[in-house]
Amino acid sequence: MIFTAARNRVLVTGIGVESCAGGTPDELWAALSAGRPAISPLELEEPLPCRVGGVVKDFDPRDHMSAQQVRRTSRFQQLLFAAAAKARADAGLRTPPGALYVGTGGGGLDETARLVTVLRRDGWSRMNRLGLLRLLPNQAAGLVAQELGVTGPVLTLSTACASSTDAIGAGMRAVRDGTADVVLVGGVESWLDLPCLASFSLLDALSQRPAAEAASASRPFDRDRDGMVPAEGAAVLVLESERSALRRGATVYGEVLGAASTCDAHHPLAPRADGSVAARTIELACADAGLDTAAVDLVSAHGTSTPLNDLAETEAIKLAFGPHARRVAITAPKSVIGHSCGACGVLESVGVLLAMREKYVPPTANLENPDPGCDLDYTPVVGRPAAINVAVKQNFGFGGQNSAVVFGSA
Amino acid sequence: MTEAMNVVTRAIMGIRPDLGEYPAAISRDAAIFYAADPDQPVLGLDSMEALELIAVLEQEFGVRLADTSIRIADLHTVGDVVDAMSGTR
Repeated sequence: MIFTAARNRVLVTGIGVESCAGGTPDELWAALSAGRPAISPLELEEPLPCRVGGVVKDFDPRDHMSAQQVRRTSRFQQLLFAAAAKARADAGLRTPPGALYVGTGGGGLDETARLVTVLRRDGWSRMNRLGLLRLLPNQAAGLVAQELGVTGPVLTLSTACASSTDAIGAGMRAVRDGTADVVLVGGVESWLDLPCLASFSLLDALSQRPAAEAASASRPFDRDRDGMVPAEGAAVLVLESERSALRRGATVYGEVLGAASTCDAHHPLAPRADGSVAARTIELACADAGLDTAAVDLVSAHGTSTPLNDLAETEAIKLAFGPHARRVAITAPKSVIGHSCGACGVLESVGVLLAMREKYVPPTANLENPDPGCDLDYTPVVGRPAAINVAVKQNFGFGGQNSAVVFGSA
Repeated sequence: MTEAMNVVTRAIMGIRPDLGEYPAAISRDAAIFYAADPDQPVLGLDSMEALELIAVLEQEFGVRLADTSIRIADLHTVGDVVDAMSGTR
């Protein structure tokens, strides 16, 4: 006899954000919907070719943590902690979530650099005794688990820029399959430190626009784009079974319908130029949702503003959606909030959920001169009202990581 | 109370402000983690707090335990910490 488990519907019932566009979903939405970039000049100790980024300003960890917790933690842990606390409060959760899935690209890479500096300069015994706890990628999730009492699966995924998109997929499956009624999924990145920015600059991956052009630096699909604009941030969603949400009378932002992950298996940095595997990711996510790609109303693009990604992503959209690629609305949130690497999946998903709620396609800022090779409807500069019932959030990362999530409206 | 004991007491209260309400409990005989016998006073620091305490005291005294033969695991009481930091162990 074969038993088939019932699939729970997976609803989004809480949101928490810490972004360069603000610390609330409404602030984030105000910037995204207006196409108002939240990119500013970076204050770096040494000059680098990269001079602009998305900084989470006015963030004070003491607003969210005890003095002891602040002392023991690094910025990526603090950002995730704050976002998780906000999401939990927004959802009105009174009991611990059953599981937690967090995506981060580098974890506490900035702390590693600090430790190495002290090691070389003063010797190993002068290093921070708690330094290890401030850099391990899983320590952010561990901290949140400890605070909220999450004793089920607490997993940290690191798939570069697809990390937290993959975290949503993992969380969705946990709720859908009945592993937990309520889970948190999050993403976090804090990479505006010299070693990280220098390393990406050496790959010629970051925009080199001057500080005075901060607001126009991130320009996905534009002819004049010149690389990613780095940003820090964190975001957390509460995913909940329909049964649990109904029982609690929870506010529902939307539904997670499906997800998929693949790998280009092609190159450490560059995407497949034909977008074939990325396209398959989108198709698989839609299939997981039980939908044809033609049902999709909005694509929230990865849109890194790099020459390679935006062309390959355009090819992927054409392959995945066929003739519908010319009709579906596309938006590139990184034009407003920069590239928050491992955090971007969840952070940009907040934009998707609010776009569905507000029935409005947010624009791709700075898309003034479309690249001839990027010839789809990316909603340039000005947004527009539209009914959005189904949306895809897709992200692609170094190492050929591809991830897509399908959302449904509330 | 020696100056070294004063410094250690202040550091403990910085790590665990709640113990500052009972500064008399921070005596040389007080156990840092748990008491060996029921009558011994105990501060009840956890391992993270103990590491933080050592880090603060290393800064205060200009001593690095890692550069000595003293192991943190050998520091059972406040007196042990004071002696280690003031170089009398």
